[in-house]
Amino acid sequence: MTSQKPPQKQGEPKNTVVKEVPVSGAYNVQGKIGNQSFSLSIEPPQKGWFDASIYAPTLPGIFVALAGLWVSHLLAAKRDRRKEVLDLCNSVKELLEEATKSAIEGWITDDLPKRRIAIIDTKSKIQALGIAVTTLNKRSVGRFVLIKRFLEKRNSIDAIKLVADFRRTATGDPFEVPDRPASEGKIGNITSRRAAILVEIDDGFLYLYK
Amino acid sequence: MASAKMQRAGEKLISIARDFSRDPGPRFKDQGVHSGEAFRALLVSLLDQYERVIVDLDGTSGIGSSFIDEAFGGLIFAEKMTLAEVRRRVVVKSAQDESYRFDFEEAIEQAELSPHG
Repeated sequence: MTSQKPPQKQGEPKNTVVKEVPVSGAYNVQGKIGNQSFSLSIEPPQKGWFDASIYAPTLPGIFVALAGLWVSHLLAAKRDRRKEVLDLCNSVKELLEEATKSAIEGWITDDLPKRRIAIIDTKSKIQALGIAVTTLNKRSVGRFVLIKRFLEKRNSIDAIKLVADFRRTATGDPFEVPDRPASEGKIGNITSRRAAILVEIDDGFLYLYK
Repeated sequence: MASAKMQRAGEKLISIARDFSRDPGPRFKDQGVHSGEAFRALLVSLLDQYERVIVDLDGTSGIGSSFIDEAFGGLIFAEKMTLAEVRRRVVVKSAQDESYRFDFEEAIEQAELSPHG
C-alpha cells in the first residue's frame, strides 16, 4: 500500500494532522483482474477568519485591555468633574464679591442716582449668584462618592438657602425706599451672610472632592 | 378677594417677566413702578378666577426680597388668606434660581407670624 501526501503549497502552514483512510477496490484492465489498495489522505480543514480557536487565546488580553480603558475613563471623568465644580465654585465666589460690593454701595451711598443704579445692580447680581449656586448644586452631586452619598447628608454643594438669606439681608426693607437715609447698619449682616456662603462652598468642595 | 366661593377654573401659569415686568420694583406702589403691591393685585385677580396660580420667577432682571414679601406675604397679612391656602393655591417656581423658593417660603411664614410684613 502506498500513500502520497499532496504537495505542500507555498506559504501555507504545515498541516500537522493528516487523516489517512485506507481504501481498496478491484480492477479489471483488459481482462486482467486484481485488487488495488490505496489510501486517501484527508487534509484538515483550513482555518478561516471565523474560526474561534484562532481568537480564543487573545480574549483574556482583550478583557484586561477593556477593563483598563474603562477604569482610565472613570478616573478621567472624575478629574474633569472636579475641575468643572472647582470652576463653578470660583464663579460663585466672584459673583458673591460683586453682589456684596453692590449691596453695600446701595446701602451707604447718599447720591440718589447712584443708589438707584446700585439697587438694580444688587438685585441683578444676587439673581446671577442664585443661578450660579443652583447650577453648582446640580453639578456637584458626588457620583463617585457612593458611601458618603448614601450614608451621610451632604452629597452636593448646596448654598441655595444661604443665597436666599443673603438676598433677604441685602435687599430687605428699607433698601428700596427712595428717600431713606444712608445706613451702615446692614454691612455687618451682609458680610456675615457672605462669609456663610464662602464657608459652605469651601467646605462642600473639600468634603466631596478632596 | 370674593367672599363667596366661585366656580374656579383649574390652574394658571404666569410669568412675572412676561405678564408683569422684567424689572420688578420695590414693595409699595408709592415707592416706584412695578411694585410688589401691584403684582399682588394681579395675583389676587387671578386667584379669583383660578383654583391654583403658578408663578414663574425666571427671566427678570432680579427681584428684591421686599417685592416678594409684599407680593406673596401680602396674601396673608393684607388679603387675609391662610398659610395653608396660600401654599395650596400659589406655587412659585424658578428653574434657574432656586433660592427664590426659599424667599417665598420665608415671606409667607413671616406673614403668618406677624400681623404686617
